[in-house]
Amino acid sequence: MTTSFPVDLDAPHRRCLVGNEPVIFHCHHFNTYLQQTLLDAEYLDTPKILVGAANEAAFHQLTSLFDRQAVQAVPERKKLAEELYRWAGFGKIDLSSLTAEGGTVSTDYSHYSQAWKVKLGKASKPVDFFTSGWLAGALSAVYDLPQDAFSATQLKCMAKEDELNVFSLTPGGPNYAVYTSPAGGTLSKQVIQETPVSPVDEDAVFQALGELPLAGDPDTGLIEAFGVILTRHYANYYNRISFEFERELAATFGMEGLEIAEPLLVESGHVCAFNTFGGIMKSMEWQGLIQPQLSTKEHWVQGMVACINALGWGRWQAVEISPGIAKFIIHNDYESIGYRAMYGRADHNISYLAKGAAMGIMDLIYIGHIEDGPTLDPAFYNQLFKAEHSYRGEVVKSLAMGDAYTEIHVLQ
Amino acid sequence: MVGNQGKLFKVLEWLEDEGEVKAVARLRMKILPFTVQESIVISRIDRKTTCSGALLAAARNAASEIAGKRCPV
Repeated sequence: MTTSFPVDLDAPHRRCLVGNEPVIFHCHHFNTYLQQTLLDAEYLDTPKILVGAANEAAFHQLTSLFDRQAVQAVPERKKLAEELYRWAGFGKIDLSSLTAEGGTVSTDYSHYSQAWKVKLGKASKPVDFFTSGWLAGALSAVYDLPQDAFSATQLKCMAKEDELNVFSLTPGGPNYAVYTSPAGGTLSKQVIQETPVSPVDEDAVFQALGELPLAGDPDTGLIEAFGVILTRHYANYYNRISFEFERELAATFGMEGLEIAEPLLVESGHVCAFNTFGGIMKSMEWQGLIQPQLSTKEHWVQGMVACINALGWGRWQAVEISPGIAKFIIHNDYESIGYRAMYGRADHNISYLAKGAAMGIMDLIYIGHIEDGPTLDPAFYNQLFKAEHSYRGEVVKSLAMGDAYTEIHVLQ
Repeated sequence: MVGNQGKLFKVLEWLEDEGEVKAVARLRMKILPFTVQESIVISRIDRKTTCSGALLAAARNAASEIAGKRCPV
């Protein structure tokens, strides 16, 4: 897959950076569930967080890329930004109508609008906060203006059955929160742990998945793979919206605010695991590359962990696996790296995605019997996880809280 | 101000049955300002819990929205 911008693979840490921004795979289920969680708190101004986090990541990434690639001319900068937006699976965008005075831009392909409609149905208000913020950040970077030079408003949205998404960019200051990107953060020293003997060749899986052409379609800018719509998204975006959200809840409602956010942030990861991991474990790629090596459910866990390590989430290890308990160690999980870079040491566990994902692996394999190829739909999800026998997760070590790595135990 | 004994509990029961996984967690998020104002902890709601009409209405509306159907409580 050729791009006009460098994609920096940090294989030992299982990370990927573009324009000094960590980039990770996530699916439309995760993206919409997480956004819905923030929007459910209508008494907080969460749109300003969603737009601000996208502005932060886009501005930093494109500023870094323009500098590194020595891209000076406005048309070339716009072309690179458009290509990056499409490559990442956010949709298609044409920046030619925008100037240093702002302007209006429309698109007929948007990950967030399409995802919302597919997963949650018709929206009552515009939902592509991400693209609003991304456009504001991108335009500032293109014209060498301050990060917060433009306000951004979505005027029309395909999720509410408008024909197009339409955005307006106006100079004069932001209508969103302004954050400074922590870039890649500081990684901890990685001491690889002993794991049970595995038939899975992790490095081969990592290489093979890295070679898949997972980039936005040339016509739609969307990445449809493994039965989901993927994005190569910004880790700092997810971290910012999750952590700012819980901080605002805690500031307004104290501990109760934190306690109420936690299960929903974890559920975002669990929904993601069910759909994306489930889709991977039903895919042709899995059947061809990994499944022939697997003869037990424990092997399936090991195979899935090998795949997770190609998502950019940090380096996962399954150090103990049985039907009753699995222990996952995560070196440099993206949530911890981001939290420490944004806010310093955490006083509580913040690896929400990782916890939900770890639970999802065990649920899929030991309760959902994914090896039988079940249909992964909402009915199956509710049937499995409204039951009391699904797995629960405990974060027993947290890199964000000062431990050497994050460790999650998943138990029944 | 308070009354409606047990009705909030019934809303939760209904949503638990009719909603998707974590539907009740979403309800908690949506009505948090109301429950905090009335010093109600949702995890401790039972048949004896009383609440204001405003909280009950907010819970009923939120439950209906989450489940995608009218909450009959």
